[in-house]
Amino acid sequence: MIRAEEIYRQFDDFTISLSLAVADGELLTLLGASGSGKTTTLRILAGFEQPDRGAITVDGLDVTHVAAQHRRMGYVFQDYTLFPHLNVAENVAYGLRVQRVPAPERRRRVHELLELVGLAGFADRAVQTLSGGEQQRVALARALAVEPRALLLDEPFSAVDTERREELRRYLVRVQRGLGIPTVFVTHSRSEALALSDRIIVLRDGRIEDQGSPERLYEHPHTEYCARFLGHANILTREQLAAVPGKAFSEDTEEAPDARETVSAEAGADLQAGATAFMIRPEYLTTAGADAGLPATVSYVAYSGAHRDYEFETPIGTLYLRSAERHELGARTTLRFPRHKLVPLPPKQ
Amino acid sequence: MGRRDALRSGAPYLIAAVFVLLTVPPVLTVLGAGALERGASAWLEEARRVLAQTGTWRSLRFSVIQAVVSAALSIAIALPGAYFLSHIRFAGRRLVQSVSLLPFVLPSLIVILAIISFYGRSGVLNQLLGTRFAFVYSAGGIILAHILFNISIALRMISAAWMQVDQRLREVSLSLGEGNLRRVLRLHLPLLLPAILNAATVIFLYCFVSFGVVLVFGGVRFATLEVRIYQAMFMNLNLSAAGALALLQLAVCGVAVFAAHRLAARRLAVATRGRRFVMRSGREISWITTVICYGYWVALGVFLFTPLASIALRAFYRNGRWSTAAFRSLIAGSIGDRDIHQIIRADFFELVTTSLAIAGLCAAVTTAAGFIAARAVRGRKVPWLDTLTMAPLAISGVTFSLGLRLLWFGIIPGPVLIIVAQGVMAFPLVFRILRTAMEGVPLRYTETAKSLGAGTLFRVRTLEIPVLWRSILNAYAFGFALSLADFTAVLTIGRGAIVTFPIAMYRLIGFQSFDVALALGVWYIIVVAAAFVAIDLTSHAREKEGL
Repeated sequence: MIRAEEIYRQFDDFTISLSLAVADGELLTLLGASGSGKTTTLRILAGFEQPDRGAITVDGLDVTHVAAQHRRMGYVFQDYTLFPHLNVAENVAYGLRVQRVPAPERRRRVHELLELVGLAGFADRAVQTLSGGEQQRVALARALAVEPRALLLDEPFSAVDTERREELRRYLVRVQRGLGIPTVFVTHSRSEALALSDRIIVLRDGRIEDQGSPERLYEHPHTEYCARFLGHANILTREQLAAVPGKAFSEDTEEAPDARETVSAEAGADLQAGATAFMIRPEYLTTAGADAGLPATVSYVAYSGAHRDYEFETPIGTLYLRSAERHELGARTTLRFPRHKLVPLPPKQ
Repeated sequence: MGRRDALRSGAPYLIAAVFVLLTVPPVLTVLGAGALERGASAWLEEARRVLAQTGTWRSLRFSVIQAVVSAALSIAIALPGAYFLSHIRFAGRRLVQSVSLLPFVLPSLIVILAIISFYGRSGVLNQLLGTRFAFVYSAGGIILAHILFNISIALRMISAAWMQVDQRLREVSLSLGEGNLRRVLRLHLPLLLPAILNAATVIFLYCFVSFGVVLVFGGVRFATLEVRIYQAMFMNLNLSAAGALALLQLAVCGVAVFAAHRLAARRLAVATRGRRFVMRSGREISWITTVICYGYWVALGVFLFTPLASIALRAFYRNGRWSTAAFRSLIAGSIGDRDIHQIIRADFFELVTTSLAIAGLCAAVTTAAGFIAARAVRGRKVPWLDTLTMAPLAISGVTFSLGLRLLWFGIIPGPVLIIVAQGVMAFPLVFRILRTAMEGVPLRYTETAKSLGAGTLFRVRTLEIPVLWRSILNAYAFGFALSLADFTAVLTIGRGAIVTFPIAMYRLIGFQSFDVALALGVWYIIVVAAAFVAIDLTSHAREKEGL
């Protein structure tokens, strides 16, 4: 278990101030825009940066003032950072040489690790001859070789081709689950965060904006920033919602008859009471026949394969809708709002 | 701020303190020696008298003008070469890069000999043309020698900067329909201007404090401040006058260094990062460009190396016929009935071992110091430190060496003082090579090694030295060559007791054994050239491996 308690670091124009904990076997994602402090937080955990205040513990042991080389945190950079003068096996064995593991044992471990990341037979290859995805798997094997107490991954997929990225993700999840070590994963890609994480922390200006399971954050974000950061969102004020005709709200739902209670329980009754705005995801809005909902005209269409993204001009403003249905540009229709999918948001801080 | 951060942020100040402690006291000793000897008021009086002399100001004016002209011409000649080196992958490119450095690392004595044997009154050129031109014994010779010495600095610095200009800027300019000439004038030159001015400043400093070349070619008529300091110190034995002149020289250099500092700061701001520069090769180069490119290098080669080749020619050609007598004399240890030992005051074996031992040790110490310093400030922009470490370029070799001798002679052995003097003089270059190389290695490598548990020494041994070995070797080679070529420090500190190659050559010339001196020069050029070409070829092989 890694724990960062009230860590604080002041830079010239930026401050990090947060606490977090990662359980054994958990994959925690730090998600945020550029400059939100996610990589800096990871570097503080690794020992590359020192916090001005606060404590970092690993399995209850205070490592705040322990140098990076003594923390045993496996760190993987986005551009692999394989040592250019060493081949694949020598790269993986680097940490084992530091630990003075005898050569036969070292060879055995390197072989095992290369098998684990699907690169058996690559041992003698020069690192420059590998593809991006292969290089990143070598970097992962190298980090795992020292049996780290935690795995810290700094945007490990961002330099890899889109086609290879999916494959690499599967490797990572399989390896991480198999070893059961706490893992912190930094990304600015919401799809990556949603797909991989046990838990996500959304960072904003060096502080935690929201945290929870991917589903909770996506479906029931606690802030407008988080709602927008995790995906397209229609944000409606109370006044806008009041202007929507009653017939546009659909009550029926097959999946969760008590969804509204679920929302209230999760978001907190007081939150709903104090809510000044509501969010509904574009995929939950539906179209209906004439006079069945809020009048709307298609003003923009983007085809994305499995679905289309629409923008509708309505009396309460522009609304986003995602649907597999086909509507032509300029077509008139009406929109309906499943009431239980409206998520209350607290007033802006 | 953490403890380690505090240590790291203190590193530049520590380096600066060590550097200042090494360089300032010797200079102050020379500046103040007159005051100590005759009292402050007498010193001031003497300084006032020296500064009131028109000769002083004539020398200052001449020092500045010859240095400015030398720098401007070096840059102008080097600019097309820098373009070819940075834009075109032509056959022999690496050879050109390494061989063009040769004049820079040769003792000034050899370059002087080379110029005299080629351009001199009875030199090869006059013999070929049947004329008796003697322009080298004037400001012309001084400027010619300075260009020969410094052209490689301009080539290296400007081509390196040119390679930093983002290829995308060129592509944007192309897409906007800008022609080649306008692109060079409106895009490349403004971006390169700081680098050009930076190179010009470095060359200016070298020329401004240059000694041997000015002494030989300028004589009394074309004396620079450095020569006047030498005359005041060793011929008139007037320490106060020497101190005052050295102070004036230091002030001008200070202004130049300050300008360089400002430019270095600007250069950092201008340098564009992003996509790597792509060099054209093969079919991408038009035939006219190929012809101009090779034509340029042949012309530059002739300009730089015919004087050096004429040394070899003269060494083999004596009394109207070809002969290897000069080389045989060198190996046999006697010239006619005179023992070489009596002339150079050391036997040949002693000469070789002393020269190599001093140069080897000096290069090792300087490279180690440069490595430690570059490592300590890695990943940080400290333009003031970069400027401070350039200071030895601006310090007169005579002043500094004499100061070291006055301060430490009798306490620290002469050879050690020589190594310190040469090391300080070579440090700006060695430090720059290592600092640039170290900045090119991403900090992430170190951090990755740290995360794998590697401590400092383990990282240096298994990561930093293997990745940077080429630059380390390069820095060592420069340190070695500059030390081997040094004449001033060995002469000033050793006072004749320590004999290295340049001293031996100097004595052979004094004994009128011109051809034996030339033969020694030929050996010297062959050894240094072979070392540089070998280093460059090895590094080329490693580069192919992706390092």
